[in-house]
Amino acid sequence: MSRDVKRFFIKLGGFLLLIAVLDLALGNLMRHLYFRQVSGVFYQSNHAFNETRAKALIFGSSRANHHYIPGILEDSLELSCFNAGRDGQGIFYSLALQRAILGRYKPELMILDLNLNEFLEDSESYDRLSALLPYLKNHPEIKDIVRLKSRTENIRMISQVYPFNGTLLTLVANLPLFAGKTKKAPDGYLPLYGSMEGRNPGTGITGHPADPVKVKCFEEFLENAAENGIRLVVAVSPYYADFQDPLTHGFPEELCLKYGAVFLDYSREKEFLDHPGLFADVFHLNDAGANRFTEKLAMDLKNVPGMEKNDQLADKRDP
Amino acid sequence: MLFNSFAFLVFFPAVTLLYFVLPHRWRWLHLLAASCFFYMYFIPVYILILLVTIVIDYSAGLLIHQSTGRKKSLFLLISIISTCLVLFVFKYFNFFNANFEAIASFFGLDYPVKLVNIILPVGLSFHTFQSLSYVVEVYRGKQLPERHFGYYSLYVMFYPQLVAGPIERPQNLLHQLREKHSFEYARAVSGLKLILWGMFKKVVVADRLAVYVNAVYNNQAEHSGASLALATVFFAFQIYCDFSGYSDIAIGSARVMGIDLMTNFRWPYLSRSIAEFWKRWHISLSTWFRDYVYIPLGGNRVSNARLYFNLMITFLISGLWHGANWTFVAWGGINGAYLVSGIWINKLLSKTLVSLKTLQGIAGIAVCFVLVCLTWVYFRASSIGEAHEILGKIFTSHNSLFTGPVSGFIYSLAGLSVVILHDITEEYRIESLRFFSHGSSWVRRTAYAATVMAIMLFGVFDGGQFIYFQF
Repeated sequence: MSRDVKRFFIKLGGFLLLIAVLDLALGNLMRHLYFRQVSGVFYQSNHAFNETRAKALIFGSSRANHHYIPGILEDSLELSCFNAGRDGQGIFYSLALQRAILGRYKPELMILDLNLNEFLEDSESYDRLSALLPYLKNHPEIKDIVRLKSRTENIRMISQVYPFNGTLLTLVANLPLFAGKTKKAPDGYLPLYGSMEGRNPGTGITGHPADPVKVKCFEEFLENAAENGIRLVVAVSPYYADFQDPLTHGFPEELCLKYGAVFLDYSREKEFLDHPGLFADVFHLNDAGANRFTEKLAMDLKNVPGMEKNDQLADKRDP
Repeated sequence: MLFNSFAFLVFFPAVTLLYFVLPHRWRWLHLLAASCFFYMYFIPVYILILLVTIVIDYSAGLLIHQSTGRKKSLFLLISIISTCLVLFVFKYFNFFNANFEAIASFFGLDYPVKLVNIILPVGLSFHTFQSLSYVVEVYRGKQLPERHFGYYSLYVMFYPQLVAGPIERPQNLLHQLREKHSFEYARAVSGLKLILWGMFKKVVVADRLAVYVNAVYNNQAEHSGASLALATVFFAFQIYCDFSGYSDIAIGSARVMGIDLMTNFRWPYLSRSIAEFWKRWHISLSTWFRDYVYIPLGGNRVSNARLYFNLMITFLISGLWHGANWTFVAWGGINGAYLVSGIWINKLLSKTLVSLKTLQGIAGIAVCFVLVCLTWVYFRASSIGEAHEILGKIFTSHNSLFTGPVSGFIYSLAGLSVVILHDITEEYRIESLRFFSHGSSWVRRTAYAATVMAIMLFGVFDGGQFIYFQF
């Protein structure tokens, strides 16, 4: 081997070692910061994955996070409640969170908010699985969901920094040192403000083929709730939009029936659609809208037939 | 295969290592096989299209060389038409078809030809132009035909520049593929530095800016003029970092193996005029159009009217090369119009503003950047109408600025700043800030490590394809 080649490999080896050490140090620091958050989206996720023991839990995307007010549900249902919805997340995140929670305790009620494009085939949903990476180390039960992100995820996870990619600023901003300057949401609910008054509703999306992987995850979510005797409500909260097509072909309602979950669709409720002042944007209710919606939901949960414990339904199915 | 993929992280060292281990006589075959694998990683069957153009132009080169007079011209013509026909079918058929249908419909006529469902083979525009430059140079007598089919194939398919350039010339590349290259420490380090910088520009800057640009441009009706203006500036740097990043990785990869590809970008946003911009932006393409379209049309050795015509035609074709959409044609046309206007303004300035030369420099950079950004609106918009709407809002709508998630916005600005600082230090040779080539080895190593960590901390790993892959 020539001197040049030897020199190159020695220096390259040294450099890679330096990178490995930096990766380990920085990765561990970021992990420490991540699980010491006192506010913000990471705090809420941490609380949902590792700490909450609320009897009622809300799952879903930003629409879940901004639409369901735990305090109202607590008063109505007499169950402690935590809103575990997270911006930009869908059924993958909800299922991963459900598995993690069921590994710790059994809530009495789960409310899953579905988007109208929940089962759309798109690459973004898979990209956003990066939100689960920090939890993989302590929650091996979500490994197969995280692996949906890419075939090389296992190899990427060798890096200690990789799970915290893109989070540095958010981590720093939500440290105890700065906590007073950011919103805390102890019950998980984050209100939105603003109004769509004077603006026309959005237009509807046309039917899309359903992603079979997402459908499978949804079905597992229903099955997990059923097997654990947890009451499950699957809801589509209001949109400020006039949609022409039903929620992705109607199969969610059929699956809910199969697993004894209650399906409530508020996406075309005139009570909301006719009041743009209740919306912050086409997809999200504002705080006033969330109040009205959660009150309506709470009332419906008391009155809707079939709202019974799933293990009772299981008894009815198996003679 | 994408450069910013895990597969390439494995592919590149493996190919390079084997390249230096193999005896020289087998290296061409190894590189050719690797290049085939690289290309087939996208859609395997499309390598057949590449093979067709390779066979056509390889044969044409030999036939042109051994022919004279009209026969020579005929073989050149056949080669150009055949090669361009492949490009036309895959890239432009649907575009022209749709336009003819619209015209027929306007006149109330039936138009029987339907659109075809066809995927554009990756890099078709690039290797088509590279093949065309080969046959033309053989025709002009400036290049001997390559008789070894393997070396010619490798010239077309050399993986670092196969799918998005730089568009090489046979005089530069062919002989290098034949020469024996030994491993050199300095070249290898230089190549790896370029790859690292290219990856930073793509993954940390371009893909981060893309998040904001896509959010605004894909919902332009919902956004203010201020947001659209910022998104346009971001897009200017997104496309620059994306494309120059790819070029850097391509050039760096080749350099490690001892092969020098041409420079493709030279800090274009520091240009003080549109004419200078086109000497710094996508240099391999602009020189291609200069040598094979503009100069054959007469170049600037003609009357003023003919000069302007030559410029406009060259840039309109260049616009069309970028994509089968009128927005790209408009983009090219506006650049052509800028150049024509620039010729007039230059004449005026040389007579009246000689004493303001320095200010011209600073003001020139700013004005040039703004003019270029205005053309990027057409490049990014999905239609001419949308481009006009966006421009209208930029100049008339002054509502609040959309930032999106604050952290992402800050990362975008930070990445942009690093690129701008880098380009300024390179352009003006500010040695103390040229960290990658600093005199102190500690500064250099810290810069390398910081760049790697920046990629891991701030890189967008789901950014996907490079923009120019669509061409």
